[in-house]
Amino acid sequence: MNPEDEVFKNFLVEMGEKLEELENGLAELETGFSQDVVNKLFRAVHTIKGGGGFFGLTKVSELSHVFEDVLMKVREGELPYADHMLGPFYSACDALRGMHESEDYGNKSDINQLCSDLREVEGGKGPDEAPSPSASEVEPEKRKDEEKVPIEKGPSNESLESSAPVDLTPKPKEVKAPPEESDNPPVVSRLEKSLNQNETIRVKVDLLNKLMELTGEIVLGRNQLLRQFAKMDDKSNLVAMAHMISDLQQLVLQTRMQPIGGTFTKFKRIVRDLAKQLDKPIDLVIKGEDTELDRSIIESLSDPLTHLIRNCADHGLEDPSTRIGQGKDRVGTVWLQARHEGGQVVITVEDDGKGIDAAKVKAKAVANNVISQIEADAMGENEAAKLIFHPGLSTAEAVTSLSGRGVGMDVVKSTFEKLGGAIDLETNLGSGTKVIIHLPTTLTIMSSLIVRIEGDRYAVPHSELKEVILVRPEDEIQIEQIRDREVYRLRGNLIPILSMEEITGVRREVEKDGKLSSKSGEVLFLVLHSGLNQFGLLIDSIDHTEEIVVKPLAQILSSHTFYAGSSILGDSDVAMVLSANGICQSHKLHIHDLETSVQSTKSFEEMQILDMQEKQDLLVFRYSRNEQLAIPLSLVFKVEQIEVGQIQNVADNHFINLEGKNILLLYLDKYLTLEPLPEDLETFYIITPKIKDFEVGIVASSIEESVHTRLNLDSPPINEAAILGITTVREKITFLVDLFSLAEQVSPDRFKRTDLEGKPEKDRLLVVEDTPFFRDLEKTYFESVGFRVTLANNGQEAVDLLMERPNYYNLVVSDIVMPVMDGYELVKTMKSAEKLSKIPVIALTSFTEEESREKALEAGFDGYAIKTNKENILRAVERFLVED
Amino acid sequence: MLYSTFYLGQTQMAVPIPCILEIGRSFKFHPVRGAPEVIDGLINLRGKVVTIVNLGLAFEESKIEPSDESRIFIFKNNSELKEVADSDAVMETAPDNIGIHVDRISDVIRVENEELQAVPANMVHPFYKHVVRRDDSFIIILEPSKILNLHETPDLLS
Repeated sequence: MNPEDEVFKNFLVEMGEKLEELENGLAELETGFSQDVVNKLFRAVHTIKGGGGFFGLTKVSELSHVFEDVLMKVREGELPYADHMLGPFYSACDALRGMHESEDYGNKSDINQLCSDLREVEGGKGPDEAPSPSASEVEPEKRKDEEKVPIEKGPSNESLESSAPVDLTPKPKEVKAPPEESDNPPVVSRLEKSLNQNETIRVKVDLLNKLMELTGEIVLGRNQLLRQFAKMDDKSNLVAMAHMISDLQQLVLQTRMQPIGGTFTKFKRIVRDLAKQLDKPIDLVIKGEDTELDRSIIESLSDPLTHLIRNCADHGLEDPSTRIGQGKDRVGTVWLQARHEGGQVVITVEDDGKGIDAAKVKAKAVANNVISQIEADAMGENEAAKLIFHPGLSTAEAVTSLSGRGVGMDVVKSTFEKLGGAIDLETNLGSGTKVIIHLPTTLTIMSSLIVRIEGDRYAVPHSELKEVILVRPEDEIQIEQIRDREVYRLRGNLIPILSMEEITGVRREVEKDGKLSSKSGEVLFLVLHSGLNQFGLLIDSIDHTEEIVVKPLAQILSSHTFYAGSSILGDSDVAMVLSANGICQSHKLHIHDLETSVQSTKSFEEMQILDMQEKQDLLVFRYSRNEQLAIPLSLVFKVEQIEVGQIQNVADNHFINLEGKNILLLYLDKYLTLEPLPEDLETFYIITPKIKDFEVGIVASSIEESVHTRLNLDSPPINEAAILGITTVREKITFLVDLFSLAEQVSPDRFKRTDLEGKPEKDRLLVVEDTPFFRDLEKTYFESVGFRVTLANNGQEAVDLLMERPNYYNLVVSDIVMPVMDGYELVKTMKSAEKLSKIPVIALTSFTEEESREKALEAGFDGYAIKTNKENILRAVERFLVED
Repeated sequence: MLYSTFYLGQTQMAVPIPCILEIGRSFKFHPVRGAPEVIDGLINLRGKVVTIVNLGLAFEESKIEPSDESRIFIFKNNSELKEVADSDAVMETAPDNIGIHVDRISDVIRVENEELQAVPANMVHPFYKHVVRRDDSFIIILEPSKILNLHETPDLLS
C-alpha cells in the first residue's frame, strides 16, 4: 500500500469523526444557539472541505465549501442564526455522510439543489460568493491556499492571522483546537490543549484484541502458577507479580472500554427525523452517556437500539391530539438511559405512550399458533407483552415504513442475547412501555464462582449470580413441589429450582439418593438471573472464586445454549461455564414478576400462588355408604374401631366407654342432611375431635384415608351451618365438616357464642391469610362475634389495604407463611410505618412449637395463637380488644 | 501427500498429515454434561480447549475406551490450516480445534494423487473420501471436515 493511500484512509476515518461532530453539533444547535457550537460546526465542515479538496473529492469539497460559507457568516454574526437553517444544514450533513459512505465518494452525485438551499439560507447572497460548480478550484486566493494544504494542516485556518504557528501543528487532531473569536487569543492555553489532545493515539482494534487475548492467557497462567506454588513458604515475588498482572488486566480491559454516549447522541438525530416524518413532537431524554462498555458491545448496540427507539416513536407514542385527549403532554417523551448495576450495564428505552395491548398480542399469538388459547388465558399482562419478542409477532396492524415489518423485536432480542445480555419489557396500557436491557460490561474475562454439581465443576459468572441459598431441614421455607416442578419462595417471589439433570436432560447416578436429600438434608442452590428472570440451580458445593477467560464452545456443541463456553481453571482442569440466559431460554422459564402476582385477576401467576398455598391434611371418612366427608386431621384427636356391642344406651343417647371415659356418640345425620347410618354394620369407627370440652365420638361407617391435599373449597350447595364447604378428594365430592359449628349445635350451652358477642361491633378486623379454608373459617368466627372482617390474601395486600385507610382497622390477624409477603415481613413493615405501628397484630398460625411463638413475638407480633382452636383464636383477639 | 493412518477396530483409516495439529494420548477428558454421547469431552491442550469426538461412536460402532494404545488426533482449525496451506490440495477442517479418539495409531504412508480411488459404491459413507490400496489391504482416507462438523449431519448425532 503506498503511503498516499494510508493518508487517504486516515482522512476517511477523520471525515467520519467530523461528520459525527457535525451531527452532534446540529443536535445541540437545535436545543439552542451558541457561539461555541457554531464554531465547532464550522471547524468540522472546514476540515472536511480541506481534505475533500486535497484528495480530489470534488463534490464533498464543493458542498462543504458552501456549507462552510454559511456557517462562517453565522459565526461572524453577519447572518443571525434562525431555526429554519437547521433543515438545509441537516440535509447537507446527510449528503456528506452519503458521499463518505459511497464508493465514488459522491463524485457523481447532484448537489446543486443542496447548495442552492444552503445559499438561500444566506438570503440570496449567493451569486458573487460561489456560484460555480467546482467551488474549490475557482475560489478566491485565500481559499486556494488552504486547499493545497494537506489535511494535517486543517485547523482553524480562518483565524490564521491570530496564531499561525500553533495552527500549523501537524496533527489532524488539532482540528479540535478551541475556537478563536478574539484578536488576541490566549496562546498558552491553546498550546496546553494541543498537548492534551496529542495524548491519544490511534491503535488498530486488531492489536487491542490480540493484547486482550494474550492478557487473558497471562491471567490464566498466573492462576495456575499461584496454585502450583500455593504451598511454598516465600512466594512474595510471585504474589507481587500476580498483583501487577491484575492491574495490567484492568488496564487492558479499560483500553477497550468506551462511553456509550457516542452511540446515544446519534439517536437525537434519529428521533428528530422520526418526529418530522411521523408528525409527532417527540422529546428524547438521554441519561448516562458516560457509562462505559466494551467497544465490541457498543458497536453492536446501535441497530437494535435504533429499532427500539423507532418502535417507541412509531407504535408507542400517540398522536398529539390523542395525547391531549388523554390528558398527557402534547409532546411525547422517549427516555434512553444507561447505568451500571451490579457489574452489568443496564440500558432502558422507555416511552410515555400507549403501552402494549396485551390482549391484542395474545390474540395474535394465538392466531399465529405461537401459544395455545389456554396458555394465553393464563398469561399475565407483562408476560403477554413479551410475546412481541417472538419471531413474526408485531402489534402494528398497518405496516409503516419505519417499523412493523414483522422482523424486528425477535432480532433485537437475539442481538442482545448474542452479546451475553438479556432483554425485558414492562408495559402499562395507556401509560407507556419500558424495555430493559442488561448487558455485560466486557465479554472476555469474567469473575466467576466455581461450583460442583454431581461430580463436575462449573463456572458461574458473578454477573449472572444473585445469591447462594442454603435450606436446612428446620427452615420454615423449604423447596416445594408443584406438579413435579420444584419451586422456592424467595422473599415473596416464587422461583423455579432446576437441577443439572433437568437442564441437560442427563441423569447422573450419584451415591447420594436423590438430589433433594443429601445426607444432612440440606439443600444448596444458586439464584441466577437473566434480565428480570430468576431461577435456582441446585449445586453440591462451592469451590472458590476465579477470574476466568471464557472460550466459546466448538460449533459442534453450539446447540447447547445452557453453556456460555468453557474455561481452563487454575488447576488446568476444564470447566463448563453456565449461561443463565441460555438456561432460561432452553427451559422457556416463565417467571412471574411481582406486580402481576399481586393483581387480583386470576392470572397465571396467581394460579401459581394458589398452587403454593398450604396443603391441608384431611381425614376422609363416610357416614352413610355414599357420602364422603372430611375433617381437618389437625382437629382429630383419635380414631377408634368399635363393635356395635360396645355401645351403651343412656336415655336417648348412645355412649361408649373408652379408656375409662364415657363418650357421647354423635350421629351426623341428626345435624346434617345425610342418609342414615347403614343398619347392618357390625363394626364402625368413632372419631374423637381435638376440641376442648367437646368430648364426643363422631360415628363413621368407614375411614377412607387421610390425604394431604390442596384445598379448593367451594361453598356448600345447601346452607348448612356445620358444613364448611365442598371439595373434591379422589374425584369424589366431599363435604368438609365444620366441627366448631357442630359443637355449638350439639351443646349450645357450652359452646354459646363468646361474651364478645355484640360488644365490639365498632371493631374492624383485617384477616391476612393465604389459605382459603382458614380465611373463610376465620371470617366466620370473627363475624360470628361481631367483627367487621376484611380479608387479605397475603402481607402485601394487607399493607396496601392498611395504607389506604390507616385509621380504619383496629386489629390485624395474620398467618405467618404466605406468598408474596409473609407474616414476619408484614409485621416488620407495619411496625416501621408510623401510621400503622399502633395497630396490634396477632399471629395466627399452624406452628405449634414454642420457638415459633418466640420468633413471632420477636418479630413484633403482639399476640400468637394456634389455628386449631376456635376458643384460642377468639381469646387472642379478645385480649387486645379489651386493652384497646 | 503424507497420511497418518490408524485403526478403528480392524479397519485401517488415514487422514492427511498437514491438517493434523498433533497426536497425543492419555488426556484427561472433561465431560460436557448434556452433550451427545459421541463427544468424549473437552481436553486442555496447553491452554487451548479442544473438543474430542469418539470416532467409534461417530461410525455408530462401539465406543473407543481410553487405553494405552488409543490416541487422540487433534486437527488444526481452519485458520491454522490456512497458514500452512499447501497449494496442491484445498483442505478444510472445522472452525474450532477438534480431536478424534481412535483405537490405535499406525504407519505414516505416502500416497500419490493418482493412487486415490473412489470409494466403492457399496461402502459409501459421508466420512469416506477415497480408498487407497496398500499391499493386500485397503486404507480408507477420511474427510476430516465431515467428522469434525458432525453437527451438520444431525442424523449421525443421535
